[in-house]
Amino acid sequence: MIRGRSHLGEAEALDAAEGSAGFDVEDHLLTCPSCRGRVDEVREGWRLAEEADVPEPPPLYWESFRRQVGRRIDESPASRTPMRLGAILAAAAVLAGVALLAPWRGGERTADPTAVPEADVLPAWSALPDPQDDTGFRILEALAASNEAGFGSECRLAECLVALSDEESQALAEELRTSLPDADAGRSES
Amino acid sequence: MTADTQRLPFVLAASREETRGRESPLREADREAVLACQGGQREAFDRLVERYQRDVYRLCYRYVNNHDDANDIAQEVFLRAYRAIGRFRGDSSFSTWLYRIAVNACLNFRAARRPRFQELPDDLLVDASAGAGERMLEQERSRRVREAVSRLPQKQRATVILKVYHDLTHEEVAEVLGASVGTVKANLFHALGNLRKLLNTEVAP
Repeated sequence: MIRGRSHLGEAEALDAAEGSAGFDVEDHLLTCPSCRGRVDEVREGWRLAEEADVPEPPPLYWESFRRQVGRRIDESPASRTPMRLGAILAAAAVLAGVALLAPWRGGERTADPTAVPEADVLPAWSALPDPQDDTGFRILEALAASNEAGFGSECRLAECLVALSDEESQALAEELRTSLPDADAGRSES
Repeated sequence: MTADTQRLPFVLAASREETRGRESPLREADREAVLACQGGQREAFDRLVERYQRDVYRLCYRYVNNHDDANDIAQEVFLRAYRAIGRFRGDSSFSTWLYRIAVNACLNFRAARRPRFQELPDDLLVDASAGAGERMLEQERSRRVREAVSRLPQKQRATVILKVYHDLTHEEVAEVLGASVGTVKANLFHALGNLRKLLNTEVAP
């Protein structure tokens, strides 16, 4: 025994109960009733915990479980894996195209009865940009347009976008980032 | 009494060795299935579901204490795993990653809903070998302990479930819960102590 060894800490008592404590701990336990009692309490708690079994469903349940999971995956819009990459690229193309066209459609926009009217000049503290400078506004326009027309044969664009995972959303954002500077360049040339 | 004889003859010890022994092939099989799944093979995910459905269901059951909710959450866990599997990089084992999703799903569920403590109907129980009286006693003991576990503070409960019932190492539990090994050990120590108090208080006259 190591002279002056302090009583076991929580982790040491747990290790001792599991039988993975070092020799110094084992030696200490031989001469310290207090720590031995502590380790015994851990063992008793563990033994009690092990009494709780989970009722086992019948074997047929697992087959049904797998089928249900498979069905939910099939029903989930995000599960249409082969379509997803296409959806990302197509969405990027639609949005980038609209973004490119948007700067030259200022006149048309006022003629369109569904167009959002030009906003008044906002105070300096406002975070909202002018609609013509607002890429988010152009994206919303593209979304609205694509939703009216439908998107591909499988789903509408908005539904596809909602179903994207974080990673896919980032891929789409990246695709848009590479497209939108062209739109900005086109606008400045006009 | 020597220190050796004081060691708890854990029932789990044998299965732990067995688990560790087959860890490598299992992890390799998981890795292959994950890669296939990331490549768009749905059947590969079905294999993962088949391999882990029981573990995930049991983990969920221990959180919610009833079959219907455990079934719903376990399905949700696999759905989330499927959606996120493209982001799984293999930094941890697939099972650890899946357990993390399961624990989060259970915690979210519990936050949104109070437990019902509804038991699986008796006629769904498989083991009919023991006598009816003995079986009832066992069921009652199990029920009491499950309820006691469900009364533990959240982190202690998660630690007991993963460590005692799912045989994870302290390191794996720490990874699932995003805590240090020291914290896991401290939580387990207190959880077992609380469990003992809760159950001993219940049986005391």
